[in-house]
Amino acid sequence: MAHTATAADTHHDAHAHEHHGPQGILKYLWSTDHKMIAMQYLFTGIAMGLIGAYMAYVFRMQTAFPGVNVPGFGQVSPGEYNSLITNHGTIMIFWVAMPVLVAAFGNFLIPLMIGADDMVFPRINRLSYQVFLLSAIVLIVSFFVPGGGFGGAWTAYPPLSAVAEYNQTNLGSSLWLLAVALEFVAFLLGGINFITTLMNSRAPGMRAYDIPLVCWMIVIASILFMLSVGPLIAGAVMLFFDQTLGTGFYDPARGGDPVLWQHLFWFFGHPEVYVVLLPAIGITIDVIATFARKKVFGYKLMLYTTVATGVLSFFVWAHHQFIAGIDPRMANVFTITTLLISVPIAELCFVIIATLYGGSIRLTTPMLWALAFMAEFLIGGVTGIFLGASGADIYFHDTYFVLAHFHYTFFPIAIIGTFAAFTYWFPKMFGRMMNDTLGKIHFWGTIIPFNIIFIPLFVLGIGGEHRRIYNYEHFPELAGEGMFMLRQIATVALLVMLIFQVVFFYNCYVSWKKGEKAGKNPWKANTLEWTTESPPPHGNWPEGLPNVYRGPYEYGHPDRKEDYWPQNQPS
Amino acid sequence: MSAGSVAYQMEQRPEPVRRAPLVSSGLLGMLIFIFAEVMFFAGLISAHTIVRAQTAGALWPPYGQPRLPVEQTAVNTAALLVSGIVLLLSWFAFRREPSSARIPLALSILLGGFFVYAQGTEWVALLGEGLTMQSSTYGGFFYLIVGTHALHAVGALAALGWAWARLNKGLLTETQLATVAAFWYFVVLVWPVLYIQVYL
Amino acid sequence: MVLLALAAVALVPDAAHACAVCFDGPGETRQAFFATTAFLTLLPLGMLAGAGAWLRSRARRLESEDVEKKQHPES
Repeated sequence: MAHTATAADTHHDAHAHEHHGPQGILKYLWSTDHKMIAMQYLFTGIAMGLIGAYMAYVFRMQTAFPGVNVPGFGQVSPGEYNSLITNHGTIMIFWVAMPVLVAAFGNFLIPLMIGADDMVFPRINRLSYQVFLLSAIVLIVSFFVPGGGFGGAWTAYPPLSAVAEYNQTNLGSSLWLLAVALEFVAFLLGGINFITTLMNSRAPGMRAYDIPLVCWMIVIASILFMLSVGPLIAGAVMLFFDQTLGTGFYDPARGGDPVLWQHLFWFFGHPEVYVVLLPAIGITIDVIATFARKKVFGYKLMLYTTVATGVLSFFVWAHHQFIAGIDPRMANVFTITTLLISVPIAELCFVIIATLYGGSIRLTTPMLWALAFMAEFLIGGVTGIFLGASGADIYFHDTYFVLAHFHYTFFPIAIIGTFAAFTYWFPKMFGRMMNDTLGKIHFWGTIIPFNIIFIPLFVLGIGGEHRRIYNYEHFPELAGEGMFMLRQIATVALLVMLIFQVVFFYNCYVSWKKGEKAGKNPWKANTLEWTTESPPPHGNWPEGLPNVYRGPYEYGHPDRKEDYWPQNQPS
Repeated sequence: MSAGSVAYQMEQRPEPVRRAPLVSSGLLGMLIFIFAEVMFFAGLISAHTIVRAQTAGALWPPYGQPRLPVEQTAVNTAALLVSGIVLLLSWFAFRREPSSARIPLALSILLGGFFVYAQGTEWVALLGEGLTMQSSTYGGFFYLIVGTHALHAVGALAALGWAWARLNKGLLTETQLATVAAFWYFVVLVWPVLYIQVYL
Repeated sequence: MVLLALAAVALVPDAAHACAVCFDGPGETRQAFFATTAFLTLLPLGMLAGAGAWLRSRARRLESEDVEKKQHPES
């Protein structure tokens, strides 16, 4: 019956076309299959993540041991230091969190979870990845051009970013901006696909409230991205013209306004936090429902709360300008909205706790990651309250307190959330189970050092340590022995954490080669992606797309012998 | 809670059938893209408003900078709006009988082409009078906003031209026309806003 | 929520301008920032609400057409 569907028929053209496409490595680059594109995004994101981690290693060594000859890099000059911290931030947010959480898992999960054979626009999807790859290449090229990579921080505030005499990286800053702009184009194309696919390609019988929450979250995140990215692209074009054509949009001497950039940047920049947060929460709730063997507490509540978060996220951006000289009345409004947005987020946490309550919890590796996400993200959220209050922010602004705060939000989102999703869907992606013991070693080897890295940074921030400083020995009040010891503790913990990542890659390799065969549904989960082969064949369900008879979280139903009830089973 | 959820499961569902999409995928994708574009122009308008307020009303346009040709552009604006209306007529014609949409669609493209051409000649004249992107933020914003709109207009005209070529071959579908037309309406409707913002 | 925020604005006295980190430009710039902030914030929400309302009315219309077809299969 599903084969009579019009939506499915139009896709088959694109697929049939693909089989005659180029062979060899080009076959992968020119694939329109959503699973292949998801893998491309995933591996590109992981590769960029390794580059970002290497940068963190280099500048943390310089911060903790000023002037040290960093193994694998050498002496760090001030310009290089600035370039490293700038590109670490840019890469981790735009080339790791976004492609992995939104693009890779969005591409992999949305068609499989809603019972479609592919995205609605497979070729736009392919173009999206190609533009993304190009943007990554442009960014990497920008490190090696004369003058070095851009060093004006990932927020790129003018006039530092706009005037080459200030930032000393004429070509590097333009290429950096170009790479970011290309990356936005890639995600615009991807986001159009996600939203349209969720609207139009759902399996027969799947109603709005039968869609797994992770799909909803990725789509709501895409909507947020679509609606917030425009002003930043406008601002980026203006900045690009300031850099290359010599216009004066951000130059106060010529009638421009540097604070304008901050508004345009953060109008996107703050919703962006929620763009990456929502998929991570969605992943967490799906993993937790599966391993607590319990229906999600309040599906609709969760969905509406997410929408509320999305709406509120447009009202908070100016809290980044509390000390940039904005009107105090405006600061007041944004303080209130910023504190308000913690309400829906807290609600999401309570929903997750209520889902766990009374469940028969299985502490598998993905479940550990999902629980760790909640615990660590909570610390990030609570410390955000200090910064959201405009009065307290005058002190905390630009200290390591801010840095530790947003690492406590972004690390759980981008790293812990990704590991939860990766370990959970690894059987579906590669057809084999991951080694659980190695997975747990990797888990504890990441979580414990993570806290040891960033808790000292909170202390340092309260002590007044400013961000983005090349050598603290030049600042007597920040160069005390105690402060340096805290810095060194954080850096050593970082090294430990990086070493433990080797376990992860070893585990991936071993499991991919020799892991136990996973079968269709190793976790006994309900959602549709577990009803097809692992890994799913071309077209996802060659024998016909599934029908949907119930919601995605029917675990532990009293009338049934088994504790799960797949969405596609008639009874 | 648990009682409610059980009741929800007991509810008898009709046999699953594939529903026709609420909005065709092409049009929906285009609408999402237009939303992003609206926000892009909103960003430009906001930036313009702020910088204009900074230089205080009396000095706008800044000293020594030419005045923009408000009247000539009003004529161009009218041409663009008429093009939008003609496109709407071609849409109704297409719904009645596809081949009858050829002439209004071509007329719409021509009017749009006239708009882009007339704006181009205006640019050349203004450049001759000393208004450049570097000469002031006034000039910078003028070329930035009008230029990005012109780029969108050219892109939309190319898409309309593609639709017209397909129409001549009898291949154009309703969804395709709606998708392409939606983008042209966006280009047409955003222009009066930009005109008021930049010229007046 | 918006009401709450507006109330907060109204309650703040002008005296708050004595703050140490506020070096905003002339009054017109401040007003422009206010206006564009409101504009940029409300525009996406307005568009979302509009799209939502349109989709909903469209869904209702399609549904009623379906019902009519079932009642009068010959038409």
